[in-house]
Amino acid sequence: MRDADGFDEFYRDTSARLLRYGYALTGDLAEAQDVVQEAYTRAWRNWRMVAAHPAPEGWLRLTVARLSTDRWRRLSGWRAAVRRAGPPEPVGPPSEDAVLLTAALRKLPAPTRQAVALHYLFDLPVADIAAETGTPVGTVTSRLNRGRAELAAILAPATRTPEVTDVEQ
Amino acid sequence: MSNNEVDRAFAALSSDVERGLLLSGPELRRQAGKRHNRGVALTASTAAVLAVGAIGAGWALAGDRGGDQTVSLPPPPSSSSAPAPSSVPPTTTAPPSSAPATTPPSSAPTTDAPSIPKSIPARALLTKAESRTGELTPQDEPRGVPEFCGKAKFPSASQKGVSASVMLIYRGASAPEGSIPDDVVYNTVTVFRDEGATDYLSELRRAVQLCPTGKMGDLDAQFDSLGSLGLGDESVLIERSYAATDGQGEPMNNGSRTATYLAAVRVGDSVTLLDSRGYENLSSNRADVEKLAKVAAAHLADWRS
Repeated sequence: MRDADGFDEFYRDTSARLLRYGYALTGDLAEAQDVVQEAYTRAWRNWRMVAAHPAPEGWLRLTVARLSTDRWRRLSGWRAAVRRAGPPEPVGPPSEDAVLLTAALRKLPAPTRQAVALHYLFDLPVADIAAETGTPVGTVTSRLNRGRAELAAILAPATRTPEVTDVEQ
Repeated sequence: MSNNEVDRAFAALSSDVERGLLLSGPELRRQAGKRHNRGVALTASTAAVLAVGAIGAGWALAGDRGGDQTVSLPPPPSSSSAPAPSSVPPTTTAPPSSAPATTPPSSAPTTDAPSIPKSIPARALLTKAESRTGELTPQDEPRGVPEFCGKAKFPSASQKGVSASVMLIYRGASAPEGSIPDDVVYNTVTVFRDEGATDYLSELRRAVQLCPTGKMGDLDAQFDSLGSLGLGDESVLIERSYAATDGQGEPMNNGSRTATYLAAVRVGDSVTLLDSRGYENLSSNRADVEKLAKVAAAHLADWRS
């Protein structure tokens, strides 16, 4: 018998963080919902193993990352079900800043996007990001530097203002 | 460069996630348990349940116990905990027309209809050793019928007696130890009542005829029957192909195609079905699927004979 209460508590404590992570990786909140629900579905199916894992949330993060980068194939169960029922749409429109960030994140290579998201959303040290993604520390450092620089360049107000002006003219 | 700008953007993203909707934990568990064998119909009353709440250090889901739920949930089933994944859980479907036990006919017909076994033993399915990676996961619920298109119908599902599925990550015999796997394959064994097994094979062939094109996830797929495998009492191999995708799951738009396979073998009243999914975004190897189908057919024949 799996520990349903333990799973529910874990889900309650961690799912919002994982949704933020999925949102950063996919760039789309509805996609992120699918990805996160699928990841927890898999966690529940393997709950004894996941619960015994030294870092259950890390297991979920890895699953979310994998689903996010190969989501059309891996979400066949969940997404097919949701598609039939009509997907639950996020409430209200996205904020402008979130749209800008997700658009900027999409321009980064997937491994860089993952490293940046782990850094900004989970405050993970470089060594932990390296361990979780199976990447050398130097590579993670390089990805973070590059990712930060590219995001900052894209998000800089000087870059955004002319776009708004153009739209209004 | 301004990292403050990046910090601010991530804070905005975190706030924006408040718009997200997630199932409650009990509902997620319930859906996880039922979706594979019935093709799951999420309904409006169960799909969008939880608004994600507070931002900041104490991220939490609001209303998990009913506080902020926007849609009321049906109560979870009393046995909300599914069987452990380490065992192959059988799912027995009660005959829809079984007579009440209290009113047996005085002269019950003694037909030769074989009884439906209580469960599918592990030996009827592909094994961990045959995965060649050691990775085999019994599924909590047996998988449902394959996806084709809306025209494909599977009335034999009503004749389903008992069924079980495993998922194996497969590496071909020629692949060196430690190399990445070659395929992800679901193996489902189902015992049917009456003519259900024969009907199921016919329905699979018919599905290919009715659905030359359909969907594979989000991609447009083409279905082709590759004929019999020459296994069991009857068999069929079906190819699904679709535009190749890159590591991000996006179409490569270079004309290349990816193929995966469905292989079904009937032995008497039972069917073993292989559903290959390819590893990551790679094609399945047809020869490997055929080899696995042969092994799976032998397991089924050994068990049912």
